[in-house]
Amino acid sequence: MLEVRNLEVVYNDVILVLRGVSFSVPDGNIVALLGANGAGKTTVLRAISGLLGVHNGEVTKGEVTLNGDRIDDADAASIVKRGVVQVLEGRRIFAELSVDDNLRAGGYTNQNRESSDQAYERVMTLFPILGRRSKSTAGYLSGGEQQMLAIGRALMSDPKVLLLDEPSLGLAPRLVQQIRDIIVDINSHGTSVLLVEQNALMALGIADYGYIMETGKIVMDGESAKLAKDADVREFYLGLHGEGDERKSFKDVKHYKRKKRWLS
Amino acid sequence: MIVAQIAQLSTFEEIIQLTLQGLALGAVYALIALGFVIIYKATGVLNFAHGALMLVGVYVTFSLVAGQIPRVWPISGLGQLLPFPEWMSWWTGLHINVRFPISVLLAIVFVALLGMLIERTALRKLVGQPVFAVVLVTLGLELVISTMVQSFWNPLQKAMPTPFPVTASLRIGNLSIQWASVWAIIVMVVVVLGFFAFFKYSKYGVAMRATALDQEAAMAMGIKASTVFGLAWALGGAMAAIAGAMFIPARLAGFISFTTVRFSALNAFPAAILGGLDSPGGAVVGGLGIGVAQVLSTRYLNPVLADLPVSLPNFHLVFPYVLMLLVLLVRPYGLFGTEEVRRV
Ligand SMILES: Nc1ncnc2c1ncn2[C@@H]1O[C@H](COP(=O)(O)OP(=O)(O)O)[C@@H](O)[C@H]1O
Ligand SMILES: [Mg+2]
Repeated sequence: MLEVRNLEVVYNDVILVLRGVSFSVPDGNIVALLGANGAGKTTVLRAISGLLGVHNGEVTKGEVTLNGDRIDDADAASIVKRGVVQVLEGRRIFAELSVDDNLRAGGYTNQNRESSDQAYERVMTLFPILGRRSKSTAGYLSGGEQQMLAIGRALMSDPKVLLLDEPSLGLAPRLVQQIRDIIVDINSHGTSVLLVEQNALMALGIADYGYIMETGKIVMDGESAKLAKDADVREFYLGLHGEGDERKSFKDVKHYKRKKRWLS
Repeated sequence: MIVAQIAQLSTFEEIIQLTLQGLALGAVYALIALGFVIIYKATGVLNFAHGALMLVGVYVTFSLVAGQIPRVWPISGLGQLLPFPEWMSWWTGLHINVRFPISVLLAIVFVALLGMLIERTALRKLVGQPVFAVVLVTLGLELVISTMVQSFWNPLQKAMPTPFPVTASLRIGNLSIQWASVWAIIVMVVVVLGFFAFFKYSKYGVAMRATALDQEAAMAMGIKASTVFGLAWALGGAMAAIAGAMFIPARLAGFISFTTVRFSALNAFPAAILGGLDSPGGAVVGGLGIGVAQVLSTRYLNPVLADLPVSLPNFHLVFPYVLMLLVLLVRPYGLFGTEEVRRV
């Protein structure tokens, strides 16, 4: 189980971005972390995967534990070795390398020949397209294929916990559907998933549990089915309006506008 | 010290022969330039101290082969060389064909470690700082290292034996090329092929390329930037030392002059830049090209330019830079440099 407790993160020594975030990702679960742009979702993932340093950020309070062991003071490489790997926002594949070399980079920490061959086979089964294009330069893949490569690359380290940062971003609905199925497939083989999304509809559709963040705090959490039914969530994150919502009070409208601005 | 036997050759033969000599000189440039590009590609640092690493390689090789070590402390104005101690006499008694390659191997290790040390102490903290600041630091390092070499080993010319007598040449028809040059070319080819195989096929090669393209994404895969940086500097240092070791017999005939070594090494920078700063292949082509151009211009351009009203008798010394500027006018990223691969 991956646990984040009372996490506080500061960038450049002054910008307080996370203000006491707590949540957990139980083994074998898919947990959704939702919230508008700038809420601090990516920062949470960086704090877990040890990548805050690259951005001059620092955990100033709280802790991250994996099966009870603290990992918030570990470096990125040892966190990957412990089985927690992050797929960065915007795919970030190595554009000039071949598809295969991208996958080999992903398997860097996988010392054991046998298990890295297994991981490779698994990626090939999940993403047959990557096998067909194994020698192509990754930068020339389509957006959807690049996202598959980014996920496949992360799977090469044979992770126990996969951190996904907005995998559906910029993809056509059909591809979002495909990525969604892939996440479910990966999870069904025992990998826990922490899914960060702005596409709340997709995320809540497959998650066991969801958390909603606003300006550095968790403001709501619950089983995803329940969250999906919640009127506020429906309105602000799913863009759906229930019946009888037509006559809003002025206060509600203002509130809505405020939220809307964060969404933009 | 270009020893050319260009007695009764036709112009064509002469060009071939000079080209071969140029390739030997270019092999030296190519290896320095390749190390420079590896460091730039993997760490983003333009290491203007790279020539100084070759300088260190040359002097360490000299010390080991000749059995003379600089007195490090107390250091006097003019660096003093002490002979190896008595119990090392077996070493200086070894045949030069054994002593030379072992010395070179040790020099390679020494300079590789020096490179890693420089990265760890002087440059690691500068990651993310403006390019300009980093360039100033490496320029400063060039001065510091060169000055230290000069004061440890003193500026006087040194002589050392090499396995390649000046007169030992390979003859093909009318052509003759010194064995030292032949070896320089062979060693360069082997090192370059070895490096490319490593870069392309080994796990660490993939890690280096990945880090060069996107450091954060590489870190997210568990690739340690510190490992990659250290490796790049070690490889760069090793190549500079190999270049130095080839330079001694192939271009200096065993006579080491501080100024010649220092300024020859600088020619690797135009080589790297005209090849394309981020292209290892370009560094090799650029190095070879500049070596050949320099030797040919010494023979054919210098006499012409020396007769001009404004005489330019040593034009070959600046020719690498002229070539670099010409190439950059046409191709601003160098011959093989890439802007960026983007999805179209
Ligand atoms: N490297 C950084 N330096 C300073 N502030 C940052 C940095 N990265 C993100 N932030 C700020 O932290 C807040 C949260 O950002 P982020 O974690 O990227 O949110 P999200 O992923 O939810 O969009 C934003 O206000 C953003 O401007
Ligand atoms: Mg984000």
